[in-house]
Amino acid sequence: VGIAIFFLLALIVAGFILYPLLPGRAPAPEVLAVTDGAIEQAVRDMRRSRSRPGLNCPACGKGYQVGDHFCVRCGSALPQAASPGLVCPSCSTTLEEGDRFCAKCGHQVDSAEVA
Amino acid sequence: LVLSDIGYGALLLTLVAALWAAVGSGVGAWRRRPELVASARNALLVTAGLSTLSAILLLVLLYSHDFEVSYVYEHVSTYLKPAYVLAAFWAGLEGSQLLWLWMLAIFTGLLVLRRPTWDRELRPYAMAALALTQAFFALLLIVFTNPFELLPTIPAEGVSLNPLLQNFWMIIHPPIIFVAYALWTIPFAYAFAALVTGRLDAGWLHGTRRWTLAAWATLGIGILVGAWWAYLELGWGGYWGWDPVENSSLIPWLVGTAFVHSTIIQQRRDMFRAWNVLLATLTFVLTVFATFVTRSGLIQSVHAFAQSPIGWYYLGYMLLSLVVVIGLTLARQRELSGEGQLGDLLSREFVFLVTNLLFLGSAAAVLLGTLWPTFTEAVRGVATSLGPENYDRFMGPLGLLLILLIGICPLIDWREISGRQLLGKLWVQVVVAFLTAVLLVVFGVREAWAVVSFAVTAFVAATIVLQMALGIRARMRTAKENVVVATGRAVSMNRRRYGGQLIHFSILLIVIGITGSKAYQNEWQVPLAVAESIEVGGYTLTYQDYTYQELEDDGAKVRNQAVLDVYRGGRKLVTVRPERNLHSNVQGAVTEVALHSNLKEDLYVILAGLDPDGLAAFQVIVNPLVIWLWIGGAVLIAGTLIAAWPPRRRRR
Repeated sequence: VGIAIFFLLALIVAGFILYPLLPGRAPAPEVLAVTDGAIEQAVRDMRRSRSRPGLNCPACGKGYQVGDHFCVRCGSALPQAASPGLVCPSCSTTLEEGDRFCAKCGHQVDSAEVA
Repeated sequence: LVLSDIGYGALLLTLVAALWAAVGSGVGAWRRRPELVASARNALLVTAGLSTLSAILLLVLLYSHDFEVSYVYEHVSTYLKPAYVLAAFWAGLEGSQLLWLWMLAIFTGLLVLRRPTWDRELRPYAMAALALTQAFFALLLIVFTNPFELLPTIPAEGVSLNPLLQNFWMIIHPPIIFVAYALWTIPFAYAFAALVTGRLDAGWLHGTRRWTLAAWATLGIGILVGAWWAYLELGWGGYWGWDPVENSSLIPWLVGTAFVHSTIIQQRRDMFRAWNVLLATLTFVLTVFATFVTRSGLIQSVHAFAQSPIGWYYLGYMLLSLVVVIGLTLARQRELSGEGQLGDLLSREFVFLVTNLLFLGSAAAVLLGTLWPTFTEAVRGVATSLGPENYDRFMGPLGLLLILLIGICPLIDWREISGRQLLGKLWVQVVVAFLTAVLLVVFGVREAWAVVSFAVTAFVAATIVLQMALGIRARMRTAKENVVVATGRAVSMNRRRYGGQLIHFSILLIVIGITGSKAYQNEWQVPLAVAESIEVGGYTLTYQDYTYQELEDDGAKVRNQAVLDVYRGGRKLVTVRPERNLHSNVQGAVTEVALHSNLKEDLYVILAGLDPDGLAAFQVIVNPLVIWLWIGGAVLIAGTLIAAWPPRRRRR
């Protein structure tokens, strides 16, 4: 009796396991969705691109990011002129320092115009 | 016999299905064949079902007293209480391994039942690691420790469960520990998957965070429940003796604690990538080690290896896991270098690193101490074990240093902080700690280390309370909420932080319990005749009555007890009944202690001897503050629940 039950059990188990391998049962190939890790990486990259080297609070030396108005450490007001000027005069895309053409619309960036 | 055959057959099928799942998910992911992965997933559901079947069959055999089965014969008897038959399931190596396999299969099943989300790429490889671990345990069960093995003859009566294990806490302690061990397999499996796929960003840590927290808290609770059992059942007045079995569960807890903390660093600052992978692996390997140590008798003697080759298999699987992970780590060096840089010496990153090293150092020290008898036996031929005082000497200071860091770390900024700024944040706590120390000395505490320990506890408690108060005050000001609403919102908006703080607070309660009972345990040996009274430790004990019996030949157990009334300040508190029982399956008497607890201290009465004429010897122990250990355990559960509770679902 034991052996009979064992083989019955084995048969059911094998059927259940091998069922997905039957032709026509294959699941549709999965579309690779954006993972949390990838999103976090993108956010990190964006953050990094916003904080440029050389942006330090004139009072205490703590680094700050483009768009900050006050230092997070000492609270003193931060110089504003340095940061928000770097946009394309034609389409308002943010530019990197030293860009000669806008990456989006191709407008030739005149250094005098940006400053 | 049919039932045991089916149980064994189910184990055989589990092994086959687990091996298939390992191969199917591995190859399926590698060759991009989703139908193979789907088949492997079904195989893992099958192992969950089959191991459940084996477990149920073993339970049925135990409850039906089927003594032809060797495991049943060795662990139950017809006179064993039904509740303890359940404890018999995990009283031996065979049963515990089946329990581990069962729990692992159940958790794996739950994992694969959920649709893959963040782990679409990682899951097949994690499934392979989980399946291989299942196959490992199934193989051991089939080849060496078959719980369904039959005896050549059918004995009329079983040996029964060791009376020391006949205790409510022994019914729940082993399952908690094995649930924890099984849960620790999941972070390990994902660490392996992250290495194989090269997706070593914080994604796998984020995704397995709840599994990790559950594993960590369950293991901690399991250890505490074990300590509670030892306190109630072993009858020497203590709850922790640094014996190999206790140590073996503490070691993975220490490494796991290091892991829980360093995951935070990778999630916040993208550092310690390789470190986290290795810590997850090490914790898992140490849980395997712990099972092996607990049940095999390796520590008592190296000859355990000679007696059964099972030791080599355990060692082999541990080494295999370590070698594979270390090999992959070396191959993935590029992906393992995160972006974060270790900043200033006075930065939170650095303090976390120190914390990590301290946890690993203490784990290594306990491991070394645990293996010491094995080493000395192998080298000199004589096993010399280390006494508890050796452990206390290094774990005391290490532990206090770690506790102190709980109080300092939250005040240190990421990246850097100046010494002057830190002092500015610390002075309140320093004053609190100093006042605590002074008050304790004024009230007569003279043990230097106890004063230090309580002062450190006060320091850390002050940090926790201040941090909490700052958060609540900020809400009260900006959102114009009252204290209650502000507290509730502050906690519910930032569960990770406040759950963590509550867990730290629970550790403080445990430290208070340990310090009090270590420093001020008092013990008296008291011989009394019936109707005599004695005053010890502020209590008056009056010996009222006793029962005494000899053990009969076929008797299961004889209950011998003394009845004592306890008075304090002329008022009767309680009647206690310490026991000294005789069991047919063990030599000598087994004591059951009588306990009366309050928030200040435990009165712990052991019946050390009892004559037929009623003359009794009592050992009376007053253990201060012990109850805070168990209260700490309850708070730890609460803190973990807060930290791990899923956030409210956001609207899309």
